[in-house]
Amino acid sequence: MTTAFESTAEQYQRRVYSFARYLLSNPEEAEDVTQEVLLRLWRHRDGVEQERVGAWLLRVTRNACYDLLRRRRAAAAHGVEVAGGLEGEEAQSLASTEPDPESRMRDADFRRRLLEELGRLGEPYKSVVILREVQGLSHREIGEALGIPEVTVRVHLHRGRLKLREQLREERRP
Amino acid sequence: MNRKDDGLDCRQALLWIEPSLDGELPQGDEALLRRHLESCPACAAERALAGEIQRELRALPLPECPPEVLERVRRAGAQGALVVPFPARRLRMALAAAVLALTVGGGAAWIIEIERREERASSEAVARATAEARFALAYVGRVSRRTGLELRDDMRQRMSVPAESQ
Amino acid sequence: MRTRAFRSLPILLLYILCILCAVAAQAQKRADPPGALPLGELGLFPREKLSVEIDLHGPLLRLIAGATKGDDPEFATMISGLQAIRLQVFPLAGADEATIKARIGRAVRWLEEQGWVSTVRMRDKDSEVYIYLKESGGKIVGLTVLALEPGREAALINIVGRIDPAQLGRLGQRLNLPQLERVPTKKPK
Repeated sequence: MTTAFESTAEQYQRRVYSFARYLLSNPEEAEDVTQEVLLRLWRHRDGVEQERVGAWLLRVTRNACYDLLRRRRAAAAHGVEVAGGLEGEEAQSLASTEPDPESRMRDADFRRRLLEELGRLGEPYKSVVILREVQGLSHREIGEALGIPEVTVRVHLHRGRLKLREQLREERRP
Repeated sequence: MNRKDDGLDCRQALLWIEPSLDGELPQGDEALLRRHLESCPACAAERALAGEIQRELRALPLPECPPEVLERVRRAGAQGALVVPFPARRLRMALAAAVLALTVGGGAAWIIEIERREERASSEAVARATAEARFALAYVGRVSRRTGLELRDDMRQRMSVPAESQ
Repeated sequence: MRTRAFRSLPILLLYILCILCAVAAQAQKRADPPGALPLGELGLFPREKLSVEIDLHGPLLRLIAGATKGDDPEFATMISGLQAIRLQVFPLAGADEATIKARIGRAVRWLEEQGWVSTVRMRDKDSEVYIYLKESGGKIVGLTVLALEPGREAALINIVGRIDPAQLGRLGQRLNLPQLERVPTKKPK
């Protein structure tokens, strides 16, 4: 492998892996997707412009996650239960930690519920919410990554946020 | 309920929550929204919830990919990488190949004789082997059916192997 | 005084070495094409306890293709492109499942280290399934399925040669296993 590829893989592995992790809610599947995506980058390394690598990787990651989610649905349709949903340990491991034990206790449930609802959020909203709110990409960067206009990114983001609020409104009602 | 306060009603306030979250509301409009929220508990609660969700999402970690994944990628890439030899090395390889080609006859004849012996297997053995081959393929089918998984053409696509090369 | 013949001795030795290497390489090539698993090395299941062991190689597969092309041309075409079909089924009743799981995990890691591409990884309470494909020179040359059904059996399938996953899937789905369960299992040598 060339040094250039290795440094690109190092640079983007976190973004690819964390994107897959939040999309799939499953660390092992996220590892598989990350491996596959980086290998695909290696195979196509001569065809991807350096300045577009980030967007390319995110798009390939999302598509690979979609493939996996489709297979999960097919397996579920055959009566096979497969891993899915940000629940239990996975939600715990991804939930942010608060230094203040009191606020952690108070907000832990809300945080866990938020992660569960994020896991249940449908596409295309889920990808946009993760890329915008969790990974901090701009509307333009998200549009480039997902191959959609910036205005569509804003619409999806708005709807995704609205859906999360709808699900979590009860949680927060005094 | 749709309170109107200084020209901003609830419907408009709720629409402004989005750009407010992204810091894209002009200063004057931000002030208008703030004033409405001070006097409208429902919209204030909505803005607070939206803000809390955003804060929590932004505080979520970006987990690192386990190092063994990158290591596997490095190794798999190294395995598949074609090392283009220097011209002198190419020449030496070509000469070595020529020598091997000239000498492989004796060894190949020995291998061919063994294969010919295998090919003279009885019809009973072939029938048995045919049944075993079908059994093995059916087992693949059983795994697929039990798990609801299918071996599909897109597996080839995932590996970027063109169909016509098969 | 050194003769020309004496000076040629190293070349003659090299020549002999080449012959030996060619023969060994040819034999090795038959045993270990890129899509083949070194079953002995991996030591997944104890051979003496296998309930099913199938190990079919090149010449026999060609004979099978010839014998079946009349009544099942798709099957015959697929078989004719293969170099090996290997199946091992290990019954888990009374066995140490944790050890078998660990061995399967080791085999999965070996596959990934050797550049096999994971196409399916599934784990749930009823089964674990791993399907890996091996690519070489722009073709799929190997398929490996590792499956474990807790309390029932674990299996390894390794198919080597020119593989079309969709064709393999179709044939596998078409062939009905219960009809074939009367096939006597091959006893380990």
